[in-house]
Amino acid sequence: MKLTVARGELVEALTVVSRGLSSRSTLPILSGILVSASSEGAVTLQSTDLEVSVRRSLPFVSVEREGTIVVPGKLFTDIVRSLPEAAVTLSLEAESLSVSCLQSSFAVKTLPADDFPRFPEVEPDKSITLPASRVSEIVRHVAKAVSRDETRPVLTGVLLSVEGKTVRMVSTDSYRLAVKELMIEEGSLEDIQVVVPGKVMEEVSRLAPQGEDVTLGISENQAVFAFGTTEFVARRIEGTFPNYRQLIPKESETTVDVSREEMLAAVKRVSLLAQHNTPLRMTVNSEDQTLGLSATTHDVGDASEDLMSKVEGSDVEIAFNHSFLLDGLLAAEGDSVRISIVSPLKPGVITSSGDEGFLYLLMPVRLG
Amino acid sequence: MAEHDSTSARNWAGRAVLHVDMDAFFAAVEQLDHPGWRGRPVIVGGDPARRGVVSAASYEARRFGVRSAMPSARAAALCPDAVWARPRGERYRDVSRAVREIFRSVTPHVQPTSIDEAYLDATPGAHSGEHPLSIASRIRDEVDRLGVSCSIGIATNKTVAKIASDRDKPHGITVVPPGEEASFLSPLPVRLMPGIGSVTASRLERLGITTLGDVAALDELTAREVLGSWGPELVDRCRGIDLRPVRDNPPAKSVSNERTFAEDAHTAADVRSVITALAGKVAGRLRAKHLSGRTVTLKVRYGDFSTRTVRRTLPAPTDARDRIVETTLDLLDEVWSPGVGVRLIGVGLSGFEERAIQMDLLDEAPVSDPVLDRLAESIDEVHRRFGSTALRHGAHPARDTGTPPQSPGDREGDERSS
Repeated sequence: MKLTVARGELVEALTVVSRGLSSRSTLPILSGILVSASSEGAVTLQSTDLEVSVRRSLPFVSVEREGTIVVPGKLFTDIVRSLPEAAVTLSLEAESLSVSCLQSSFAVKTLPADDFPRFPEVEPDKSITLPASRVSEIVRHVAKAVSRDETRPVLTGVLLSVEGKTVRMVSTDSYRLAVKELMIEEGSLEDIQVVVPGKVMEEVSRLAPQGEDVTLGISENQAVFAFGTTEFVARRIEGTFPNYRQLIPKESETTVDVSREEMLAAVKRVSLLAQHNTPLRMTVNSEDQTLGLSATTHDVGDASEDLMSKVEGSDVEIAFNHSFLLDGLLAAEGDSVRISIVSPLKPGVITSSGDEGFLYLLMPVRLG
Repeated sequence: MAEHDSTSARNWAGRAVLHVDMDAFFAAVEQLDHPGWRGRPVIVGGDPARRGVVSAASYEARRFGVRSAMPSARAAALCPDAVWARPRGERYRDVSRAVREIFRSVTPHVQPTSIDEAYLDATPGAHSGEHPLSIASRIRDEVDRLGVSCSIGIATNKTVAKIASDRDKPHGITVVPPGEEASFLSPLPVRLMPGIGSVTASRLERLGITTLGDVAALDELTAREVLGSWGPELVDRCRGIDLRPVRDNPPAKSVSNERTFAEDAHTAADVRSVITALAGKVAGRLRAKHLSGRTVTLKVRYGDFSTRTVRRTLPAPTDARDRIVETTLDLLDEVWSPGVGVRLIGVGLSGFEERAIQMDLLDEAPVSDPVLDRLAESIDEVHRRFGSTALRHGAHPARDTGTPPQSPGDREGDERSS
């Protein structure tokens, strides 16, 4: 195999494909990136951790000799990234890949290409195309609430659904739940409902260039995201996603409207004294029209702050995990947020008038 | 102001809120500790050569235009002869605690809002029949005796009291009698109202609203337009209406129970059963207060009146009797061997954290032991209704049967933060 490619092109492709590298050391081949070059000038890079597979083709490559090799992914990426902006020549010499660029040259031992898993070819039953900007807009709202706890696999996924022109994503780690939906110009013919790994959703939203489209295809077991010359194939997560509609309180006893920016700053300040998982306490006072935030860490100190707000309904005191609260406020857009509370032991809901279709539900911390 | 001391409290209608504001507090403490600095400009703050800022300036320094939060370099230029002191937070906190002690000796309703400010509820009849002004004079005198000074505002609510405390500084007492709140506030510039910052103030001034009286005259709609959703509330405050209570809840710092034996105990069975009983009481009181503590303390007074106190900190806070018993018995082995006479045993818990359990959206079952929780709560309930002898653990000694819920030798203690 021998080919020449611009360093910038290669770095960009490796950045994407590196996301699919496995961190498990039990299967060394999964730490490699498969590079294949055909005589027609088609060059693709692939990686997989068996859950997620990534493939990217490089358009402007001059291929002198075809071939397929596997190189240690992290090392190869680091090498290419360190090179100056010039043409990079890759060629297989004996068991090593030679990488040369201007005066620099490297020889890196390759891994056996025959051991590399085949790329899952997906025949989608359903598909929908969304602008990348919309995808990242939705994902930004729900990413934080995705669970990292592998013991409840379904919660490590994002529920993605398309109903007509409405696209919605829901995530929950069972302590909070985030929903974001928005309307798209062109809907899908058939409704789609699929749970895809949260980290894939995040990678796609980060890597798909704004201005391009992302096509999602669904087969029985797989979901494939395609944008530009990149494909992400992820195994669909099995299991039933919680019925989020049932979890959202229908009514509230108290609503508090408060400036999002002021509340964010206040929560950050007061949280400095909410160490070791001590909760942040919210005291809603309808007479004063204030939202009081306070935290006490034993042997360290306490902090409190009153925020001017618009309170409707009855006084209430409720406590939340401060970082969960912060995540919700950060995810919301718009100048002011509304916090709706039913009771100190029922979930609180954050919405924003400047952020239609977003809802963040947060379970309280029970005191005493 | 002595002539006011005789004023009858009956002349005060409604609430009486005192706002006590220490005068140039940090600088005053420095002058107290350094007699040579009295009468001289003293600036507490960071090094002028290192971009420090002024934390506090004595009144002598303020005459030169030095203000807190000003860059130290600028302060040094304004007042080249000033004495500079580095802030000593621990010392200021000590003095602040002493000042709060004075407040608490006057009324239990004290709400400190910072190291050098507090609200006090001195409503006649609530705690004493004393006129608020006489209470304020007494506080000022006692603060003087500490070697520092304060100014006090007296009014029927917090907002007016706070603004009043700033009217006659240093060492002044400003009284706004009931009914005169609005007329007191009316001529004052808008920026004196807490909650109106400089940005809002200049916006208001551009609209021709320069005094608190101007704000008070706004109708609800205009208030909302100009000041946002909390406009109406702010307008109320400018009218002298503010119903916020003075909040006071000094949290308990430790909960303990002790028992003195009528005759010195010598056997492991006797000592252990008393520990078990005391631990149960402590645990019940913790649950009643929604507290759990991390530090278990055992106090043993021997027959010769010598006393040992040992403590152990647990990895996680607890309010469970069994956990407390187990830890206390471990501690007992460190300080006592059977045969040695014991006069008094005390079991205590400190290091409180409020029990906090993150609730789960999907099963709503919090991560704790519901069976043990329910058991403990049921036992508390039985004790509450039928007395502490109605239901007891098997380890209780038989000779305790029939003792009243509170044995004569029992004492319970609640140490509170000051």
